[in-house]
Amino acid sequence: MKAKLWGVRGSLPAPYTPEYLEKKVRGLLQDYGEYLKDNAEGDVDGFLNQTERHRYQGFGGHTACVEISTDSSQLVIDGGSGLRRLGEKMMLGPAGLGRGEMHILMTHFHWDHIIGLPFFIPLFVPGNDIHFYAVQEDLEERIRAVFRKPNFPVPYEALPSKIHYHQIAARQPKAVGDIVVTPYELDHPDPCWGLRIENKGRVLTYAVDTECNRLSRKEMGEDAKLYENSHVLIFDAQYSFLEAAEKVNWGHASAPVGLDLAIREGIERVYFVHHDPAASDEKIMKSAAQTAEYFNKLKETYVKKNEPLPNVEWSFAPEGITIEI
Amino acid sequence: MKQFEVEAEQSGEQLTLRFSGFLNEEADFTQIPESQAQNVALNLEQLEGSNSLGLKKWISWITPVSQTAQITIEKAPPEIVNQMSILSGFVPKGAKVSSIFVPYYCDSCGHEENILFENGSGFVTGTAATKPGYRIDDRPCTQCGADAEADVLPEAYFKFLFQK
Ligand SMILES: [Zn+2]
Ligand SMILES: [Zn+2]
Ligand SMILES: [Zn+2]
Repeated sequence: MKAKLWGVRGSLPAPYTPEYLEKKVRGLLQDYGEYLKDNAEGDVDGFLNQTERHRYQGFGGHTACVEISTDSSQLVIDGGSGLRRLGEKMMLGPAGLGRGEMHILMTHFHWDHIIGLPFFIPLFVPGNDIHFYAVQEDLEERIRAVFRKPNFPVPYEALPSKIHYHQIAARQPKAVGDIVVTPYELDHPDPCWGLRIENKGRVLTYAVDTECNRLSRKEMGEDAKLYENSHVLIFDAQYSFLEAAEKVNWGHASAPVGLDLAIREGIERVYFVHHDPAASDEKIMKSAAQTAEYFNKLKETYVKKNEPLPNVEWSFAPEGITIEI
Repeated sequence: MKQFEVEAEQSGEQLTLRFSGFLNEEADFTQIPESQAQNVALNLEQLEGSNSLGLKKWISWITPVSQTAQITIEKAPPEIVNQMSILSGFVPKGAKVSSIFVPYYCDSCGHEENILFENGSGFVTGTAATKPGYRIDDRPCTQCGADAEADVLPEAYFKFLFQK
């Protein structure tokens, strides 16, 4: 099973401002000038290979959209602005000929998770079948509302594709092809569902958006199963630890919290997403540095007590990466 | 790691809370008795450390307490000072840090020891009129008498002093 992250921003798409882009380009050109002094042939690949990736690619500005795929099935999680590009890719296949069948599971209906839906081109191609899934009872009404005039020029009723709705039961597995998804409730100001996504014995946990007000297994109750025996975690790290602590009821978490959950549950790898739209690439890297420092000190504390911690691989995920589960 | 526990001692206007064990998501703050005390001293000497989940619980508990009482933090061990400086949020606004431990290491005999630094001598917290700061000197090793050195990166260790 694979997961491709088409959008990793939270709250609002975050395109670069011209000023910020210029600053980045100037910084890189200056460093390239230095690089040329030792590398007269000036090979660009060599320069980029020794430059931190976020400096020339950034983390990306599109909001929540994840494409889960196996050899035979595909499931899209959320319709943030990242969905537009995924739709463009799908148009190169059966969806472009009106023979596509797509499955989109909505965790909740905040702007950053629905804003890409009106720009999902397969919806405008007659013959395509598009299946929406959610735990929320008002799924159909929420999707219709996205296309309501005057917020969008094409009314819902005029969409030529066939749209199907499936309300899924909380904490019950639901199969979409050979992908099995079980929703568990997260801690968010409006109901939002984390997903345990399974295929061939491998498990991906998608825990975005959540403030993690319930922390212990006891407090989480049935919802603790979201993390149990999972292999890979995609987690909400919109804020630094202190920012998240101060923004009570904003509904988001920080990387150290995700890391500690992963340690407790024996999860192998964690990808932090839902980056704050106000965070520059440098600010995200600062959160990464804080997380590294935190993890190192925590490990030291445990080693001192002769109780070494399991290793957890983690990173702040940029847009566009594909995760092998 | 030992389970997190709190021992409370009330005398007049002063409530002293002695914490022990590891501060994680299992930490139960409801075991602390209701108190109208104006001064709350938090003795952290026996705390083994904390993770971010415990710290999240700590912040939810301490924030309202700090709004009605003067909080003093005493004898913070290195594991806690590190998290104070990295994640911050451990020391609520308006609270005083009266003493912390600094780990020392003796190169000659390998002895490790935590030395208590008092606010006003080893370090000072900033006020409206004064800047925060710290001073780390070598200390004679209690085992062999040679010079023992602080086993920390001072800039990182004392970062908590400079956080707003
Ligand atoms: Zn969101
Ligand atoms: Zn949300
Ligand atoms: Zn010595």
